[in-house]
Amino acid sequence: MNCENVRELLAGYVLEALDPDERDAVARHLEDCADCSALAAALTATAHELPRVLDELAAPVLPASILERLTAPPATGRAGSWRPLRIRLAAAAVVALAVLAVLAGIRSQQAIADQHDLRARLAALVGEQSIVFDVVDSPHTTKVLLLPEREGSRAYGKVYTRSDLNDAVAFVNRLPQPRGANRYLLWIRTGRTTSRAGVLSLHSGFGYLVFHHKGQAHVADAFVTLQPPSSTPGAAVVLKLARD
Amino acid sequence: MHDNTTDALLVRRAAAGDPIAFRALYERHARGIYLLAYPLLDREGASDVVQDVFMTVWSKGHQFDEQRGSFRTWLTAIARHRILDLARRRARDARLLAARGVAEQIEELIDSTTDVADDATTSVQARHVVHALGTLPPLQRRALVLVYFGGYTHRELAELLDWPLGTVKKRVRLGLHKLAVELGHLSPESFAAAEEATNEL
Repeated sequence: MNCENVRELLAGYVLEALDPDERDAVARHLEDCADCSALAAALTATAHELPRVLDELAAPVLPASILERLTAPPATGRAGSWRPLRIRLAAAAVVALAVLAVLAGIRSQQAIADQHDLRARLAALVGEQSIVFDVVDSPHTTKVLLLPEREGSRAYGKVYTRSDLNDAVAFVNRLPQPRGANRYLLWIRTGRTTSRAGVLSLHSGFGYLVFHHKGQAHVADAFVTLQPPSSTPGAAVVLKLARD
Repeated sequence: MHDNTTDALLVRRAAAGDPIAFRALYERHARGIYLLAYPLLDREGASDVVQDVFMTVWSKGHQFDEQRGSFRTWLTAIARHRILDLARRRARDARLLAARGVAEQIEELIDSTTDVADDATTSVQARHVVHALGTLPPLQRRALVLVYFGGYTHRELAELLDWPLGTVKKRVRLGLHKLAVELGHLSPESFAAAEEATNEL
């Protein structure tokens, strides 16, 4: 395919409107042709100006602030017609917060790593970050919401499991920093067995944990306790599984 | 974070682990992605796309190359690809209805350009794009809008509108190239040269 052939199809290429064989032929040509690549870049920039018109068209039917809604805390037990949406948005909020939590965790952990074994620590963190995304960002993921045991608390959390993986991820938010020997521990019940998933690392109220969980095992219950590390759950439950 | 901080700088900071920069990018661009997804995917689907796209920004922001285009273009391309991927799994009729709805609303917007221009709530950029779309011949505009917002391939659009395939390709091409000239992404000379070359085929 020469430049003239490609330029005839370039608009369709940047709009993803070509048949697969045409698309592949154009892509191959662009790898070696700077002029056509420059034209493709200009057309791409043009095409993606089009959504600007939606700002005017759709404004009346959309929430005033998407960010506010996405970062709103989850519903606290009142059943209502919009509860599923709130739960959905809470999931988005937890993921958004998770991003911040992971970022904060990485920065903090890097400081520690400087004093110990930088390379080993970073390798572990990078691996953990990858697991976080693998688990939360998949169509095979099941999410459950954790809500506060104590009335008035705005804390919440989320547990993500994947049916095809043996890794799971939990996030918590708005928990106070534990004092003394106390830590936040996550417990998971599958069948009749309750086991400790792990200790949640907490940074400015956000916490996350990557833990081992058999992908096929149904999470029958999940809760977070505040207690010194132990192999049995204490009585101080701070977050418990939300049940519809 | 200062409003004048460029997207390119913010994405570099976000990729290096700065949560404030990440949030600033989110505040600037989440709404636009939501609006793009909303007609084809409804509220839940649009929220999911916003989430997915910003996960990509966080995990792959280092791949953004400002020499190859703006952050907004990069982000919108990712979002549109994801939206179309989801929309194409939905019922054909629902996608058609949504795309035609957007096309009709754009026509109404173009017809009321004077009102839009006087409306202080409409952004300068939005007015600029509406004006540029208004300069296109109606059939080129329709082809371009349906392909972009409905995610139709040339072949699907030809079937949908009962136009010859070659006509669809030409209208989409001319529509996008002329729009590029109107929006200043392409010089009139480049457009003329490209058209001369393709007319020789």
